[in-house]
Amino acid sequence: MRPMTLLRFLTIASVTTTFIITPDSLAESATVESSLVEQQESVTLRLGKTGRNQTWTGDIGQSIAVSWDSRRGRELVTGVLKGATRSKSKKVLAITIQKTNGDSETIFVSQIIKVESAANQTGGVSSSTTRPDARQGTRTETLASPVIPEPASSHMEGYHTTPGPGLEDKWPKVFLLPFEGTVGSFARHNEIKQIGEIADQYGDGQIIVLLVDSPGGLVKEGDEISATMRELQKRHTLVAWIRKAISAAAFTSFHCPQVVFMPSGALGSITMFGGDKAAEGAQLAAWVKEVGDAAESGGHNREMAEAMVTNSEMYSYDPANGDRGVVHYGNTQGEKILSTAQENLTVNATEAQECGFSIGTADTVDELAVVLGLPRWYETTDDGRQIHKNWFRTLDRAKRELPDLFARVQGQRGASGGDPVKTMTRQIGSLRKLMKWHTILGENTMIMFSQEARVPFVPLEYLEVREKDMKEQLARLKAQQRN
Amino acid sequence: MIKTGFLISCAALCSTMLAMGAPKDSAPTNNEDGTNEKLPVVYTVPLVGQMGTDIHEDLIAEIIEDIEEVQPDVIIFRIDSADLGTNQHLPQFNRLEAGKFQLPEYRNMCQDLHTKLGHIDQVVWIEDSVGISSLLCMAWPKLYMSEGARLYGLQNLHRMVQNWNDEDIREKMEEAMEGQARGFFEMGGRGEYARVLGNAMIDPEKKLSANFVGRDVIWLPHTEGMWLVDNNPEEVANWSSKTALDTMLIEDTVSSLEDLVFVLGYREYEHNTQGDEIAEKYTNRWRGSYAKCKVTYEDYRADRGLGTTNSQARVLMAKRKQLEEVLNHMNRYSAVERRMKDEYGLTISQLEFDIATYKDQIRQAKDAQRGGGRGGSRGGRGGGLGGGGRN
Repeated sequence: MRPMTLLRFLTIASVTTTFIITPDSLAESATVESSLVEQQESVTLRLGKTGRNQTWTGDIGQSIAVSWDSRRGRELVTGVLKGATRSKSKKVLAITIQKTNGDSETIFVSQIIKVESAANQTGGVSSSTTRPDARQGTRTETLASPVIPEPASSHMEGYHTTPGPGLEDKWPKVFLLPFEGTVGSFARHNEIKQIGEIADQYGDGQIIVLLVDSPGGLVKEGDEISATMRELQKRHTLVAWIRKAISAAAFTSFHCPQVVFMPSGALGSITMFGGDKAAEGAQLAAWVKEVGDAAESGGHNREMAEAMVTNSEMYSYDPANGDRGVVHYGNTQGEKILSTAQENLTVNATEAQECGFSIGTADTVDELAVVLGLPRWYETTDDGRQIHKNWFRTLDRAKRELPDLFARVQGQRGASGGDPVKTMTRQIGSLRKLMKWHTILGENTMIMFSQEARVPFVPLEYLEVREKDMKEQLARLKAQQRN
Repeated sequence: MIKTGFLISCAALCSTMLAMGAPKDSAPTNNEDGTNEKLPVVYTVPLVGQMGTDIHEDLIAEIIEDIEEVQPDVIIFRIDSADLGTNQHLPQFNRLEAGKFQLPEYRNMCQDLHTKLGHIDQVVWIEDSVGISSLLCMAWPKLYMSEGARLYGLQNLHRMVQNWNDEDIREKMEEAMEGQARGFFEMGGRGEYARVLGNAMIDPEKKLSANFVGRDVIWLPHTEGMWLVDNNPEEVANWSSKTALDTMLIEDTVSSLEDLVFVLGYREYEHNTQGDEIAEKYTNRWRGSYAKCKVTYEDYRADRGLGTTNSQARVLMAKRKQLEEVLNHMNRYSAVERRMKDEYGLTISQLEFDIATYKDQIRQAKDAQRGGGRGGSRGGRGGGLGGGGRN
């Protein structure tokens, strides 16, 4: 993407981020007489279905963290409760929060999932209602939570959230993020970054497990994953739990110092290609080096990783014997030959462990706990699973909406019988929604996901130009109608 | 030896208890010798028919649930799934009935059976296996084969990725596919030889021979071993019940369920047939749904069943209804979805899109009717987006 375009993209993103009052919500608020109250007063929020009908009471001026369901998925806003918009009957309809960066955000109560107050968090009120929720699901943004959260008391899948009574302080916190599907669309750096930020809130030295089940994907996304993982490596213990890590997913997994295979696990085949041609020459050499470097960053052997990139790279090893550790070879001189000059390489559980790449094999989380040396399996919060779920939900929605929007923009659907102005206005509306999806998903995802959604990939800048054209066309049509 | 009469009475007792709503795990039963010891319960799971439709993750989920209730002593997976018939005079291959390549689904299926029912003894009885079902067989350590059974056909995995001209890409795809397939061999406890054995059964270029040290078999990726299995660069290592037994790939050959249970060490047993019933019902249900789905879709394509109306809106509504019916069938059974995709290239998202298009057209047709036929229904539409190109 060109710098200018990137700038434009970011501008749109930030506008979208702060524009949280949806047109539907505005219409709703227009029907009631409202007043913004900013003085010191008590505020009671009766959360609707989205917030499981819970009630929260606090004061104006109080520090809070609000997790809410925007059209883009779940988002978190932290800051000071600045005001409340009430109906005639004094029921709070919306709240305004002054964020730490000075911006204000207004959120409708009907969209709120959870509210937490700083006082409650430090005061130790039931953690299920006080834990800040950073499950944004659809975008990456540095969290500015003013308080250190308490671990969850319950987990969506019923796992323990602590290592056991009295052991809470002796063991690191554990987070699990499913890394599933095509890299670039379903599996991305954004979600890794998010779970990292959640782990960061508990300080350094936590454990982040990526449950990898991916056939690979976009190299460009791999680069962003690499940058994210290298940052996280500095602070936390990264574990790759391998169900399937092919291509870009194998590249991702190499960044984790601890690799555990499922018995059925497979990892490798990192050949880069475009169209029907594999990378060659300088591009291939650079990619071989990058994959080798990624492996070394995770403390793994680079020969094995490089043999996964191209046929000509080889790998064999001598298994550990007595005091002597595993000996790796970038040729076929080792006792166990995994890749000759005619072969690519994907490794499985037993050989991965024998050559020292994996630290063990685990089919279940309980077995994983044993391999990792944990007293039992626990996940401090279920944020990772929730982030993953939310992102998949967003993509599911995109898959349903994108073909429809494309059809509408192209005039194949949504035409208004005989009224060209109406038709064009609708087309422009659909185009804008399409652009919004672009912003929500990001370019990498749009590239990879367009195939899944059976729509052509159209760059955002082209859509912007198209919008301009269509607006001019609309103006002409209106003029024609007037005449 | 097992007395058939006794077996029938056991089965009758079971069905009576079920009809009465009694708990599924049977109470102590009087044995032939008059003792009240509980007979070992053998639960059979038929993995019969087409892989990916008849043998489907939904069926397995249902069966796992049932087994968790029954808590049998042994589970026997009876595999009878062949892409090729044995009669050489008849057409050998029916594309629509060939096993589907749903590797992740099969992997999850096996993983669930291993982890959720890991406390129960599990064995595989291969009555016949040609095609992707052979991968399923290899996911268990204890294999038994019927005499004359085949354990063939994994070269299809290799064939799938031969369309790439670039050697590096082709090799990447091959190795990715073989690596995932070897995962099944690992699940079957053949980790040490997963690469040698797996590759030989999938990739025609790979060789296989074996050495024997006492009862242990050492599989070798070349032809130097004392027992040559495959030196043909055009063929993969395929097994008959005889060669599989000779090389100790399987535990034994058996002639019947009674024979197998006897080999497993049980002189008497109670045969729980709930798995067979569940599988039969499942297959009948999805195949019935598939037949209806096909008829409806064929009607849709041939413009049948639209009535005699002249109203465009009504015709469109009838077409939409037909597609909705097809969609219902595909949503209800993913086996139907897979078959419709194979046969007609039809997907759920494509159908949803088409239904939405009909809805839009119906709206426009109604508008046009209301407006007394004013203007064209798509008047004034602007230019499309055109192609954006890909990176």
